[in-house]
Amino acid sequence: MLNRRMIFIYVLMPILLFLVFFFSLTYGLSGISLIDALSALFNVGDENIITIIRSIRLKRIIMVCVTGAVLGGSGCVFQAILKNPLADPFTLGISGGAALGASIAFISGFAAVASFFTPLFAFVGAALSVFTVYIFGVKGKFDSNIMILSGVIVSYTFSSVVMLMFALSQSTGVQQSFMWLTGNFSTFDERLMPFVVTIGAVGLVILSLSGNIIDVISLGREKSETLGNNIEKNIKIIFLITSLLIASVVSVCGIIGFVGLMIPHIMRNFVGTRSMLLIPASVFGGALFLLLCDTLSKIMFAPVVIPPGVITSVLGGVFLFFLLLRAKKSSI
Amino acid sequence: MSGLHSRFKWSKITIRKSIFVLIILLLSTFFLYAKEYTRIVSLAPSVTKSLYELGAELYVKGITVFCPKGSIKKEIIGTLLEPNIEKIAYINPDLIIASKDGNDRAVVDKLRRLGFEVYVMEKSESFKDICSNYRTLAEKINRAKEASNTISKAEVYVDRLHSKLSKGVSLRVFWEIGNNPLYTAGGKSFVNDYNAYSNTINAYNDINKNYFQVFREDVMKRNPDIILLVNLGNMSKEELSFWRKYKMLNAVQNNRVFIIDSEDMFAPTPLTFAENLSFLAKIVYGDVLNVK
Repeated sequence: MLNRRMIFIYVLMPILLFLVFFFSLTYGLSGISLIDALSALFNVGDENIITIIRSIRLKRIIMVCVTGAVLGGSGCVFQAILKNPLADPFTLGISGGAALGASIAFISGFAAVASFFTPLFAFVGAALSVFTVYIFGVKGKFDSNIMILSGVIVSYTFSSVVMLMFALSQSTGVQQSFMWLTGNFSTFDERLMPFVVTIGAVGLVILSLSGNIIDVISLGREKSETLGNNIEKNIKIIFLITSLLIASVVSVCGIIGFVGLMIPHIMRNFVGTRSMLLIPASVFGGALFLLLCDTLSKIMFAPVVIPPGVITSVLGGVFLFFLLLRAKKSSI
Repeated sequence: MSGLHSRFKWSKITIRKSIFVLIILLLSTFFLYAKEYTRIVSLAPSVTKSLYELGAELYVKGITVFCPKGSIKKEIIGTLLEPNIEKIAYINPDLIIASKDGNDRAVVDKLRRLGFEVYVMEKSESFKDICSNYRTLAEKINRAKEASNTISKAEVYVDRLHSKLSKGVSLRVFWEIGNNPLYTAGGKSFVNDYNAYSNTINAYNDINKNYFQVFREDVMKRNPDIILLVNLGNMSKEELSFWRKYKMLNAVQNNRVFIIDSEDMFAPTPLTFAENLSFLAKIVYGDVLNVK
């Protein structure tokens, strides 16, 4: 059974991811054929097509995969350590902090001076909310309910501040903030990509390998301490790594809703509840799902690109709903 | 010997002269034709409109979905806020024109990093700005002469209208630019220029903002002489009958509640500014003026 699950996670998922990757890379503009796209990937052919494939499409795809993987993986970790099926970057206020930071950048006009300010402000905002939630929820005695509550409070407070800024603002920055708030893979700064990819890869490997510790934490304080686990210290470390991961992707690409919440739930149907398996499955699942959604967002109303966040919510919501329905039926 | 020498000298001067002429010729062709962009992508409707007016439509290869389509088929490159970068790169433009007011700076930066030349049209806050930004755009695409003609035409028209209207009492205008929620334009918006040239006053010019939300009660308290419902695409006719219910308002008593169908009220070119102004003057003062 375990082997079958391992094959599913480490063989089938990567193959599926590669197929979507291949499709996304080669399908798009009507003027570029499959052969054009492939040869451009290896720096052969028309210079213009090489730019499109290598500098625009490939970078976008990599960024999408990393973002999806981080959101999926970290959502899974949050749900496990907080023992709450609703935990995700939204409920913990990290997305809210990034949204506030980015909105400040757009509305204050900094983003119009240099686009670099948007990810910077977003990261500071996300870090601020992580810090706030940490102070309330993690420091001292850890309590998952208090932590989720403080995350929700931070999230609501920040989003009301964003709304207040929108109401008072005079600039066209409001529209631009709105676009950012639904996620944007078109205009991210590719110079930030090496950092995000490195942080993402290292962080996700660490999280995937600490699946056993996370499982022990999710057993609860008493059992976990009996097993010799320093629960406070481990939660602190895992919370900070996960938050940093989310902050780094969200600040570059904007807010993509639902992936972090939904992917772990979907993956649980395939690989079970053990974090050791569920985290890597969610990492691949997140990357696969977000890449699929992003590809759809580019081709559905082409040449108009729709926000990928919209598709993730619609598609994922419907899919998850059916899974829940099926689970309910089988339990009856 | 001396003859040969002088002939040699003469020919040396000729060579120098001809080289000089050649360089001048080359330079002039460089200056005349180097700035002729032939593959332009416009990222904003206001930019597209200006390009058409300047007679550069032939060279516009890509526009947004909201742009006027023009008479020649062009590629659609997405929306104002989310242009399709791949599609733009595929068109391989030699010039991309964005608007500072409408486009996201991140898009401009991204396109520049990809190696494209991006020209950003400045924000306009008055008729003067509109004209000067239009002129700079025209210079960029080598259409300065066309721009000068258009601008001077518009300026003459606007000035004549202004001088005809600058007598008498200034009526107070409430600009309604959205009805749900109720939105208006303040002292920082350039609707004040329409007011200035038509000898009217913006009822909200004391609020030092661009566009903002107001309450119906406050509008009623200010009791404007004219209510202008600017239809930017979603102003309903019901709004007209709604205001007409309030008989105590000056605007209603004198039957001065109007709808203006103008999508470019807030992003005009010099020419459309003049047109909008003439339309405004006509509905406010009737057909008493005969300025063309």
